[in-house]
Amino acid sequence: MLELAIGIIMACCAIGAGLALIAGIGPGIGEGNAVAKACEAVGRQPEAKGQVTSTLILGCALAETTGLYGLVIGILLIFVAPGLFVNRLLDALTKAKESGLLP
Amino acid sequence: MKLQPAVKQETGKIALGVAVLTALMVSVFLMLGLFHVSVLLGALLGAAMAVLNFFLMALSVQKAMENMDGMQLPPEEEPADGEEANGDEADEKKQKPISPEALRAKRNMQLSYMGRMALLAAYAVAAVAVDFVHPVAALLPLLFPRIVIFMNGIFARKKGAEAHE
Repeated sequence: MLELAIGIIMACCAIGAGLALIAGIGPGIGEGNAVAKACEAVGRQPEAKGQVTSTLILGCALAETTGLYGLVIGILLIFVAPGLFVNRLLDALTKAKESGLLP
Repeated sequence: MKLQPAVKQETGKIALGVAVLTALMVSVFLMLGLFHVSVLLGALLGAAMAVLNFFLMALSVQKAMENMDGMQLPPEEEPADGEEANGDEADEKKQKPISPEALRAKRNMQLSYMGRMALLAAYAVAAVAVDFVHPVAALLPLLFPRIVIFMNGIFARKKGAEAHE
């Protein structure tokens, strides 16, 4: 029973990490589109190159942090959360045994 | 490759903001009584990685922009009076194929994004795995550039409003 509970915890963490890492796809596509459009804008108006570059850098940084949130959450779910949850489960089981709720 | 002034300026701003926020984070650890050498090491590494990531991204953007040097695309055609359409039809009409140079820049940027994400993923795994670095202190500074950009935006808006008055 304990193995099943630990397995469920690990599986949920892995699924959560996978879902969190989906957030990394969007910024890549978005950055690519933004750069393509900025390149076209610079091609049409070369005198606005500095301003376009500055705005694009900030926009890309903003988009990228969204992917980073997903990455950080995914890493924490894979490496930190399982140990934390399993420890809590074991603590709860120990307490339940001590209080006589479990044989 | 010579750095563009925009890249230097923005990276400098972000580096300064990240340094301030990292110092703030370390002081919060200190106040909570959680300070340790691992926190300081993690904060320094995290801040360095955040600035490095931003700088690499800015370099990719600069490279993409430099590829457009000397290119002269024709100006966009403005719709004539009475030709303005609404809804999906107008959107379909507006979507023109992008130029080959822009397409190449798009692919290069996506490739660069993948590389930077792989670098950050390796860093995050290492930060969590090793003992001498506090994982929270090492991962939190990666999110600081966004806060710095927001703060810059707010200050710029305030300055603009004051100048307007």
